[in-house]
Amino acid sequence: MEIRVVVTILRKEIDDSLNNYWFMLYTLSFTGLALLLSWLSLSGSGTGYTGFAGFGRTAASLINLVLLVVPLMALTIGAGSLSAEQERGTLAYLLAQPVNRLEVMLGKYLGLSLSLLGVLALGFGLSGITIAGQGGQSDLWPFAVLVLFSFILALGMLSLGMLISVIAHKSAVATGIALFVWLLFVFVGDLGLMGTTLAFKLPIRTLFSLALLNPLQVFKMSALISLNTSLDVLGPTGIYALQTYRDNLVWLFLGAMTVWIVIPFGISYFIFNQRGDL
Amino acid sequence: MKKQLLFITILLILLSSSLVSAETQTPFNLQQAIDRAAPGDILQIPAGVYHGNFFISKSITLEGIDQPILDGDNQGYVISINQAPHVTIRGFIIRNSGSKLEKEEAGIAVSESPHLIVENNRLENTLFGIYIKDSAHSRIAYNTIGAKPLDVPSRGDGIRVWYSEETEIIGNRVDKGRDVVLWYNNNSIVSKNTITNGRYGLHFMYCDDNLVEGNYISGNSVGAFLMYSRRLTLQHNIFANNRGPSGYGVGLKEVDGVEATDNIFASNRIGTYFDNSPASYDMKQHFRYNAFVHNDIGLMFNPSVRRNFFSQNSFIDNLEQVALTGSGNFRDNEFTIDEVGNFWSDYVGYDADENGLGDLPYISQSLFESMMDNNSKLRLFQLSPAQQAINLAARAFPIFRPKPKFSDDYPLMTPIIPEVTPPPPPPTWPMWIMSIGLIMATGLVIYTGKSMWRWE
Repeated sequence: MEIRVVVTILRKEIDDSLNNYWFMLYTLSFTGLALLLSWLSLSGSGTGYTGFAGFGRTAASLINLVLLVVPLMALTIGAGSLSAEQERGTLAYLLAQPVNRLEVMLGKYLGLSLSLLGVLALGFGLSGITIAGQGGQSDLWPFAVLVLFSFILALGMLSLGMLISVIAHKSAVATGIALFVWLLFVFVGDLGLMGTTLAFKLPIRTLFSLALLNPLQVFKMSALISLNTSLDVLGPTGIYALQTYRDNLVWLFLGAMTVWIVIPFGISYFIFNQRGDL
Repeated sequence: MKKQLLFITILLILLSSSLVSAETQTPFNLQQAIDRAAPGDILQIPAGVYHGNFFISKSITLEGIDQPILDGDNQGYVISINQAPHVTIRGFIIRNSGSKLEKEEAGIAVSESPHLIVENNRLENTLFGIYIKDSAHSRIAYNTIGAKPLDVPSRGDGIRVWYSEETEIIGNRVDKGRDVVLWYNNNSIVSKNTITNGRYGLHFMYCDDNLVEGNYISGNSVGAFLMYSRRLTLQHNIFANNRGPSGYGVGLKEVDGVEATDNIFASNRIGTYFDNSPASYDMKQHFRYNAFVHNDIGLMFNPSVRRNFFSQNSFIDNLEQVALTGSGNFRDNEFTIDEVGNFWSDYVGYDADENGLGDLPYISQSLFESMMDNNSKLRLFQLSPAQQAINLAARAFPIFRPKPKFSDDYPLMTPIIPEVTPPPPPPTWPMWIMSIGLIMATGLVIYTGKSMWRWE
């Protein structure tokens, strides 16, 4: 594997993203919403008390925004990556060059990761300026961690998106599957778990373990723990998690999110490498 | 008498000047000096380190000049005072008490000594800080109390007062202790103290007619846990960042007749928790002009709680403004007094006649909230899009709509800010740098992509 090849493909991928209308749309909506949310939540009532608050409402709404938009963005972008090129026939052309498939996949993955990082950095950067400009809460660490975890979440969802892209040969199919997976993570998973909790009176331990399976829940818990240094906002389950795992909790969360980056990428490389039909 | 005082002072100064060379040396035998003093004497103690456990049993004043250090060498009580009214301890550094919890070893331990004054001392590395029993009319003022670095279960109380009526606890700073606790202590004043990082910042048991005023209580498991007491007044306090499994700004357990005005409850897990309070049928409790800001839950009520009245408070951006535990019947608590209600940041009505009161009632009715109230495990799903989906469904399809929790018929349109000084906000420059750095990162990513055609 040659790094130079990976870097070239990576840069080509970023350039493609910059010319991609979908990508621009996501950028615009994420940045716009982040700006709007941080402006609204600080200019409203309670401004006089920002000295007391964690991010309070701002963080809560930013977490919600990330939970909604980032997986959607990363999944669909990932799903479109290989499948669209295959449809256009450019993938076959690319693979005819002296490059191997790992280089192609890594280059594409890293390029898209950087593009997503660009979007996140722009959105958070602008909302950070809004927060600081209004003299709002400005503890650096929680904000930095929120950005970092959002990026890790994006990496995981991108990896899953690429897996979808490799499995589905047509880009329309891939996008459809990506949207379905998004719905699964954002709504169906949580609602299902809620129903299960109510119907089967799940013990807290089981509930927490099941919640770890959803990377979105893990992102939310990690973001909250860095904001509040506690999880008591999540009721008994959060308190249980913190009391049981204490300082290891962050590592547990990081581990749970890394799994979503490494395993889908590994599988998709395996499948992509086996495939002969291009 | 005056002659005697002069004599002792001179004696002490002579003794010390001849002996005190290094800080670590004991200048003279302090216990002997205490034993020789007559009731009413004022002993001025020069700077130096005095090791030992000191015992006082007569009415004397110990005054430290340039903060002399009394060091208990991690054994027993540093100072104990017994059956001696009108004792004053002023201007010392008192450090290294023993750490036996069962013996309640303390920096200053006092029993049966009314009219005690302990002021302007600094206590360091003590298990209990100041421990007073049966000593009415005492005054504990402007002391700084630092605990031993222990886990919460093996800590002692920063200040503990038993059966000492009309005691004043003023302007003390207590950090990382267990509680500041008052038992059977009527007509006392707790004012202008800073109590941080303990278990129960303030803990009242069977204390009637007390005034709690102008305190800053932050970072404890519970800011103030008030139990079995009657007619308490809370005003101009700040209860902030009290979190954890209990995590109440103020917890009221079987308390009768709290009057709370002008307090700020900020960023606690629960702003105020009501457990069977007021307890008696003829008692009412009033909350006026308080602000509940950025708490996970603003107010939390146990099912049986009745007769609490709220008016002109501001409920600002609490994740859940008012919560009920279990499926109890919330009634006889009013959020409107004399046609004036409270400010609710999530109020969606309007004020057409511009009288400062919303024309539509504020109705607390959220499907997800009532689900959480019934099953607290569901709090795990707070702040997720699924939560919003559920609330949206409830709004769209009325059959899912829960019973309203309560309503405020005359909500205020603007919040009322209590007159307390909030802590200074953190500087904004780190946020500026971080944000600008992020935007530059975006620029770098774009450059990486766009520059490739020029380079190759």
